[in-house]
Amino acid sequence: MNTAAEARTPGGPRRPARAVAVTGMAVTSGYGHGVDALREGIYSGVPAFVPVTRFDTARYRMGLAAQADAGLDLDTELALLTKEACKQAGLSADERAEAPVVLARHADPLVSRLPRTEQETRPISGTAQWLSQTCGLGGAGRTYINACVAASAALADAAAMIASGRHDRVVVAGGHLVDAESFTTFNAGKALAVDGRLRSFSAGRKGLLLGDGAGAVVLEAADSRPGMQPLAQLTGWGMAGDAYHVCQPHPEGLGMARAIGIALRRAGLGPADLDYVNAHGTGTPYNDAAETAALHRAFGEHAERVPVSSTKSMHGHALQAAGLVEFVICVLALQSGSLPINSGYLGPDPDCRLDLVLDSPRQREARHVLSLNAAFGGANTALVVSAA
Amino acid sequence: MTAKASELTTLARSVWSGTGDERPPNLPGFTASPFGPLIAHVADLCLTGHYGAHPAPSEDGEDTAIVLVTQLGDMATEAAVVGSVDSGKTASPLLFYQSVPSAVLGVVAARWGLGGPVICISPVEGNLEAGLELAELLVEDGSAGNVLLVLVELAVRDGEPDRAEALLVTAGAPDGGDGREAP
Repeated sequence: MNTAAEARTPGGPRRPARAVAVTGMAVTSGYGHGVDALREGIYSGVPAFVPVTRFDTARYRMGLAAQADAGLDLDTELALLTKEACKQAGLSADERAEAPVVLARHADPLVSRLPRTEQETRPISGTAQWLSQTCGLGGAGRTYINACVAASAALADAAAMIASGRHDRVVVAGGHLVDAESFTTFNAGKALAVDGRLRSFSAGRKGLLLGDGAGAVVLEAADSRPGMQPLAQLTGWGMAGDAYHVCQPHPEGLGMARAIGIALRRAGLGPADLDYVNAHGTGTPYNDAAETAALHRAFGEHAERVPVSSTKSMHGHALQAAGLVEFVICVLALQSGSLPINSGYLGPDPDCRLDLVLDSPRQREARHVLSLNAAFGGANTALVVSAA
Repeated sequence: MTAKASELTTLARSVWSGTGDERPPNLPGFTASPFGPLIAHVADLCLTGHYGAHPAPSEDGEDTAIVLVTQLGDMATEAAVVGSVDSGKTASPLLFYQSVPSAVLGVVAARWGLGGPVICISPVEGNLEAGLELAELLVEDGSAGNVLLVLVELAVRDGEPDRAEALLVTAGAPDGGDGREAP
């Protein structure tokens, strides 16, 4: 199959001049605080969806989400997670002080309740600045606000910053906690699954469910310091646009296929090298069919041979933090040799012909896995995560 | 972070010149705020200045990233969303996508056939410098050949103008230039 990915830029994606290692990671999800809670949750196969208690949902079409502790404060949680990730990486105070933090989040709804003249004192980047100071990091970098690809774009750009030699290490943090504002807009868009299950790639799927997500990942140049103990490597990254619609994905998955092709070429891999795809898989009719088309376009004859699941079916859609939560799951799949399931599956959809991981985790020694995300405006990202 | 944005040439530039309460042309579907219409307007002006008419030639378009830079974001749409929450009234379905900063970039990308990365960032300071820094990273990384930068801030005081600017930049510093002035 002639893929759009093959026809990309004249220069094309650069192979990383320096290998990018993942040396620390911490996460909070609907399963609670910690990587262990996420691991136990997704490999149990039991979704984390519960009745939302953080705010009143009586006025909405449904009231479930993968909500962690109702009293979580996002900034506090991000600081805790960033410190945990830096500790796992074994960074000294001097090494932390060299590492900028890039962030993924949405504008704080509390700021828009302030008088207009006070809003300019609370820029979106305020969290990154506070996080850098609180955690002893080397300054606040960009805050990515491009919705469901915010965290994955931040990871991609952080990897590029390291590979290009701009920095030896970058901390990527991001978060989204289910709030009344996101519930209101997704309810208005009739995007929430009224049957209370997120059924990615399944016949009869009704839409998505939201989930809490926050995380921090330390990326470092693999040759930047002795004694490093990498958890995994970020070997490929690709971003591309659909150039199609304000909020619908290209039905043929053009942008996603290009992003996949770029990421694979950067990693020096082909579709047959992939052991697993953690799909965007929001459970909406549009997304899952378009993403399937993208996988067929990018993988050709291998499209139905690579195991795929959307773990959003269990931890929900964490919006700006989705790319971080799912990146951590990709590392867990590499470490454990176990591929998490695609939950909520009712039966095959002819528009979603994929090798879905169903019923129970699939044991497979994985070397390279792919994490996909997409957002309104036709933004698509693909990250190749490889074993350490 | 290191400010390093000197290896770019500006191919075209446009600036929103509205004063006071002047509004950009209407953009269907984006009614809660001038944020989206401003972005689409300055992007159109900039790209029209370079290409004449849409779409961009496919060899350029597929290789062009869009980077939106804003420090405060779309506070008008955010206000509409929290207004719905606080009042208990049902939100307009349009807010579902209007509240997402990248959504309007889909309008620009579709109209002009731009298939590169679609990124929205909020820097600590210096929208232009931050945008150029990211553009240079994308170009150097091979993620894009050209980058359409759109810088936008809505006014926070009555009578002040909204501010928006778009630049189309490409690899390579102009002779003796710093990449920040139109050739």
